[in-house]
Amino acid sequence: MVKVGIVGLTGCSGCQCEILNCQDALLKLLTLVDFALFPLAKDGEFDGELDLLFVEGSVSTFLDKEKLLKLREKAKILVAVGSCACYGGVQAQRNDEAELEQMIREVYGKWELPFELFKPSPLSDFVEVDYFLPGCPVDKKQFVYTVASLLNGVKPFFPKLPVCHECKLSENECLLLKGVPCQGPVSYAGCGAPCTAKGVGCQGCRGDCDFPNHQEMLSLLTQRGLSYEDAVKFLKVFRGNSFKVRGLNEKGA
Amino acid sequence: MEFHIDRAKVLPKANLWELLEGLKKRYKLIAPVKEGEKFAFREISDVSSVELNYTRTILPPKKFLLPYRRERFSYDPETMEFKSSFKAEEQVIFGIHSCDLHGISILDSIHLKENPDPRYLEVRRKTILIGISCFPDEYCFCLSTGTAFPDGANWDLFLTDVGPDYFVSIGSPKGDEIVLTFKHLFREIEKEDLELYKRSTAKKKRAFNEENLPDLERISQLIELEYDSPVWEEEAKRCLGCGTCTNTCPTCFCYTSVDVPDLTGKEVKRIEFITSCQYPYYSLVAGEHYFKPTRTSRFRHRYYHKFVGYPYQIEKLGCVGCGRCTAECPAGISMVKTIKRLRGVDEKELREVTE
Repeated sequence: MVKVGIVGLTGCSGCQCEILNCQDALLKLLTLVDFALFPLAKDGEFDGELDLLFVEGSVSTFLDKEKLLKLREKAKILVAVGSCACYGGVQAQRNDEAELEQMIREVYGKWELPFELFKPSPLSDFVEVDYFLPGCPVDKKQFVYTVASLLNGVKPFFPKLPVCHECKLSENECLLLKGVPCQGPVSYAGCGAPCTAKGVGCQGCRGDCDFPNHQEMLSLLTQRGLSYEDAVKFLKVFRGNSFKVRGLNEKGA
Repeated sequence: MEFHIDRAKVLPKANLWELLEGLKKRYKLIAPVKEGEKFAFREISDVSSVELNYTRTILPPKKFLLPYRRERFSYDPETMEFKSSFKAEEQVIFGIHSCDLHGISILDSIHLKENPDPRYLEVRRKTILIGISCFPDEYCFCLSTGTAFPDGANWDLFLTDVGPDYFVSIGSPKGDEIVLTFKHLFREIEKEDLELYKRSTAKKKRAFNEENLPDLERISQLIELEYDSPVWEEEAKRCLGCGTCTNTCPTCFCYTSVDVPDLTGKEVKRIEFITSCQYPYYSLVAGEHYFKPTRTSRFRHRYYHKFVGYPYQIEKLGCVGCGRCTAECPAGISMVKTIKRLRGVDEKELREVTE
């Protein structure tokens, strides 16, 4: 039987909960795979080889790092689940604004700690990641699709289309045209645009789409009442670690 | 006195609701409804929700002929047995504006002219199209594209608002059948109706503002001559590449497909979904090569296809002047303005010429 592991590092466990919410699919999966390692849902230790490993959360302590390096050696395929694992998550949104020492002194009141801490980082800073499933939380359908594809030896297919694609085809009123700050045009679709359907601007939780035009996005956001600094912060919420303003000048843009 | 238009009737406005009720009993009825500040074609359960005076829906009625996401077939990868769950329903799409009827006529040419798509054919056979007249807003430019009034024979009935009544043009035998079925709701046309009809079409023509209309004469040639124009890059700078222009276009038809296995691997579904030439992924091929590597090339590609590609393929422009791509663009890019700039007649240049 295929051995599957699902573990969490620094994060809210929301993605693992979302995986547990895939009820129908989980019932089918239980007959097909062995959830060898799933500390959130299952008791017991497991130290063997894994065929498929899903990791949620960012790497922010030496414990995270050790766990990740050890698991990577035992796993044939590693999938980063959720925006923390893929990009560092919301906790990484100010990584470029302060030094680690400054952050630790602010939070703990002192620099010397009994353990080593890092700035929250995506898994790919430490190990090779085979597939990325961003989202805050991860989308259930995408998770099931990924598992179904990998179990059957098919490479899952994730075109990095913008959220506008799914939003427009759901025939929602365009929020940007209504004056609501929305990151849809530069964010990676796959979620089915649930936020914009409810009138909440896209927060970009799945990161960038292919060749995003950040320059135009920033100018649209500033035209809708945000200062330039706030607009950049808005884009950085989930893009954190990797964010840089991309526009027309680079290849493919 | 005999009139030569025997393919027209008059429908008093008060009788429209009974006609809609009657259609709803017989077919799946689709019509525009108001949603928020915009309009959308939806399946109708209550005919009083049908919106008769709307400017444009977010998506064209195309979605009921070519669903945006559709299953082509499913198969068992071991036995290679193929199954299809495709089923076309008898449907009436009511309240389509002239531009969208022309859009459907273009889709018909694309899908039925050479190598007809049997599914599209079946859906079209089971679909009745009923148009309704409209008045332009600042985004409409159907007068330039020659699509302001219904034409050809791809629609079944067309209702022109002439005040107290609708002047009903009959475009097909299917339309005739409907009129016959609901005979008691229609009356014969009289000379005054004809006058009113002519006046109403003239009124629509006059409602266009010259400033909002592009000059489309020899447009294919213009686009080809201006291939290297700096206008493309200047306009593309603002383009987000979100694909809204193509997704809302009544004539865009590009799609891609992916095979989705189920958990057991016993059934694989081939899912087709609409895609856009504005996405880099669209032109991505093996070896990570992009045929349209820059935003400018993707931006220009859409105009090329609409004004050069379609005329080569089906001898019609690929644009029906519905204005959706402009009205829905988050960045406010206007097709009319781009064409005007390419012609070199935007206000600034015009002033320079006259001064």
